[in-house]
Amino acid sequence: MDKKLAQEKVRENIITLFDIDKLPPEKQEETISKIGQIIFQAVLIRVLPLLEKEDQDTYNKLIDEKAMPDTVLDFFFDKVPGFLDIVTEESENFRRESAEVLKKVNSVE
Amino acid sequence: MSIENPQPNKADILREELAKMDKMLAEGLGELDALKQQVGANKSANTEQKEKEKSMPKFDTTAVAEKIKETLEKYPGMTEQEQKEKALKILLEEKAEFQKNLIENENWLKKSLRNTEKWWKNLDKTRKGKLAKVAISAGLIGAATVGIGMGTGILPSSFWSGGIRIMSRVGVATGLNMALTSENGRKILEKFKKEEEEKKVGDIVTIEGKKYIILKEKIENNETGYEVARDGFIITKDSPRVENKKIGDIIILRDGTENKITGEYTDKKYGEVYSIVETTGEFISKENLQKAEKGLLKKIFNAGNLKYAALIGGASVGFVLGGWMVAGVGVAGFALKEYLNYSAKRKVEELEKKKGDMSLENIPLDINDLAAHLNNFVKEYDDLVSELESSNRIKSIFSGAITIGTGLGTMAAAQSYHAQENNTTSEDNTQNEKLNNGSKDPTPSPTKSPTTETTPLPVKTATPVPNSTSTPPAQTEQPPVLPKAPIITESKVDNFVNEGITIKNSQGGIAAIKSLQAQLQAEYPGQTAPQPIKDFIDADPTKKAMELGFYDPNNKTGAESALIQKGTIFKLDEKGELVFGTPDKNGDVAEWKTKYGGKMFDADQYRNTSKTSNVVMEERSESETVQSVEADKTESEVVEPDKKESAKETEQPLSNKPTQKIEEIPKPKPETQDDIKERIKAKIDDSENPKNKSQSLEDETNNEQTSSEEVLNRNPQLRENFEKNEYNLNDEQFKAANTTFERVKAQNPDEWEYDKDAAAKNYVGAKTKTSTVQYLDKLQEVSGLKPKVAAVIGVERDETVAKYAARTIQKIAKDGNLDKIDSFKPETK
Repeated sequence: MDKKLAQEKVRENIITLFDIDKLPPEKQEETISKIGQIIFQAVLIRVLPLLEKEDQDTYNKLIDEKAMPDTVLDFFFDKVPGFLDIVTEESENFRRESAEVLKKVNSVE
Repeated sequence: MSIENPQPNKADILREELAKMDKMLAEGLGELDALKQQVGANKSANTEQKEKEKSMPKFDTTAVAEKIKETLEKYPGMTEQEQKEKALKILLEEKAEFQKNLIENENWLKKSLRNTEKWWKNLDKTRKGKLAKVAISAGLIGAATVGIGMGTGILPSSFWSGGIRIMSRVGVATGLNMALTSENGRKILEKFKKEEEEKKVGDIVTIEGKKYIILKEKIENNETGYEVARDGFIITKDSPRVENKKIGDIIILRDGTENKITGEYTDKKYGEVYSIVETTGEFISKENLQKAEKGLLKKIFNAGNLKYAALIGGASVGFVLGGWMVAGVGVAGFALKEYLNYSAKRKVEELEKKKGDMSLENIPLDINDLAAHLNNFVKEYDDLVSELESSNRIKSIFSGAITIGTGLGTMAAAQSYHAQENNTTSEDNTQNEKLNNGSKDPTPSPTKSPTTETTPLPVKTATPVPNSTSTPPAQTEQPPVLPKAPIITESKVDNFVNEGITIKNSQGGIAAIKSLQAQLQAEYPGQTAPQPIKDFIDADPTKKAMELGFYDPNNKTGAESALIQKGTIFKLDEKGELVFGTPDKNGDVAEWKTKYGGKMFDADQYRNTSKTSNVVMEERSESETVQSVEADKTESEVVEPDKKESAKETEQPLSNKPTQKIEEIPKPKPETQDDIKERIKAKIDDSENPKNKSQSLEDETNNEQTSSEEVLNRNPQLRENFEKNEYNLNDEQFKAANTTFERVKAQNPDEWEYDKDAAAKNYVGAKTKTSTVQYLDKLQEVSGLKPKVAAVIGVERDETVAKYAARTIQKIAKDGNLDKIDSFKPETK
């Protein structure tokens, strides 16, 4: 992929795709959290089955005990090799799907 | 018949060894098989998982697009923005539904995800949780940007090696727009406005990054303001100082300060503790407090913090500083980091080459909306930019950084970070660990010296704050290239070499040398002073005073000392030689001298005649660079800080005052008016007593005590309690004094250990009658001597409890009154 194309792709991120930065402030926060939830859920679907039973229990315990998100992420970084790759893939997956959807919305007559 | 043990032959030995090896090999092979099986199982599981993932149904983007289009067609009047909002809403709903269906048959997973969903929702219940959620969400979204960068070779494939830190950093960067324009951001801006409003007693204010509590409203030097004391100190409940104490009681700490117990709680590290706050504090005018608080944002954005934030980043910072702030700090940190990189020419070229078409300036991003929310913020930025003296470059980088949330900025910042990461890994890890520790407990961590682990001393020690959440540790680190950052060595050299140090109050020759040494020492902590200055700092003050002609112990007339007049300037000339001079009205020094040749005076005589004599003044020529005392001045004029100085201190509450307790450099606590009065009175008391004259000028008369020192030389065991033979005691008197001293110490050894190095002035007459306080009261009563307090300008410290006891006991021994102390028993509660 040449640099121009790469640049285009980079600019075509989730925020610019949906003009999230142009939403009212409170709406921005809400939207970004919703997208984060979807990506996080997609990540969980992939990583939870990779965990040992004991670690699955630990995860559930963390959630029950209302751990902070960074603690939960720390846990996954510790337990799942390549966790960041999964996050990247799922994030990119969502970005790509969003771009596809919008493209199709615009192209469908 | 005896049977001899047969000697094993070599073949037997080899066979035995072989058998052992066979056994080990068999065991090893067994383990290897087990491992292989395990690896096989794992591979199988991974393959199974991958197969499973491959076989997962794909999200049908065409179907979702159709659904969106259908919906949009129903509402033809929608603006493009509204259409996008609607599209996103549908997309998110469909995606969520799709993901739920994926795990339809996985009950345990469904349960986990359901709980996760609940957890995610509940995060909104707290501000911290909400901020963390947004930051992490932004991080998850930002991962896509970084992913593309890696996939296209824009970012190196090792980019992710930074792990969670880079993840959250990307989150912070991507989340900048959200955070800055969010409700939270607005609230914080409002908070800054509120901080300018009136304060009330009990409010906590932040000055120089440290928390202070307002003790009372106060008027000082015709300025209205507040008396504030450092907040956040604790004392462990097992300390003898708080034995039988309760909330509201007063305790005296080792540093002599009187503190009130304000609360109690269980500290994670120190266990059961009382929170304490000083009963007397420092004055800060309302105007200065406002300035300090207005400057808070700027201070948070100081270069050190920015660098630190850039190194650490992450949501954990958010928990310490507040999410909005963090987003700004984190991103500004990137920008600053980038600036730091740019500042080296080679690096500029290297980065420019790498950036190529990726120049931030070339990206047509609309930041007008954002800018509207940043008015106040930008003001602070401008100040910072101006401070950094690189406005154009910095501004453009900041502008670039502000657009980070739109993707390409994230990339640029991440690139910049990555370049830096390679150089700072170990530092990063250390600081990250520190901050993460801090983030787990957002309560400001009190200072505690290592000694408190073994002996439960109060936490107010001269230990520098290691890393508390209220004082970001970045302050220990100076970015290397900030134009206005104080380059300590150079600036101080210039000061002493070019401008010199001005004597602020008239004082004796030796005291002036000591003051100079102390000022220089304070300005060159550690071993940072250039050699000529270091030599001066390390010199014996008495010898130095003699070299400069300020002190002549052999003067036959008894006029052994010069008195250095206020305003005299000392400096090192270009040869590194110490010179001095007094400026005229125009501020010019007519002559720089290396040796004083003017009038000398008899310190004892001066004490007795200072209030009336004009003789010395009349004999002094105007051109003398160092003049003898202006004898028509009263003693109070000599020692009292002039009003200008006093006002200066008040105007600069952020400079030294609040931090003195936690600095290693031993600086005297700034005197209050009461302190000064007390000290003057004590000095007058001493000087009025002929026997005490030698102490009034302290070390200047040290040499006169040679003969009495012989007693100590003959009885070296006495030196444990007595440094000097201050009252010319004979052997018998000194030994008796020593016995009394030991008795005083033995009354409550633990308490004595705590108290001995504290300032005696804070004990004598204190309301809380501890054993030490009662003893000191008695010593004062019987001896008639009051504790000495520090000179205004110098760093002679307040007389400690131990030294005061030693002096008074000697005096009492001399007067033959030791029995009054020996028979005294402090009351115990």
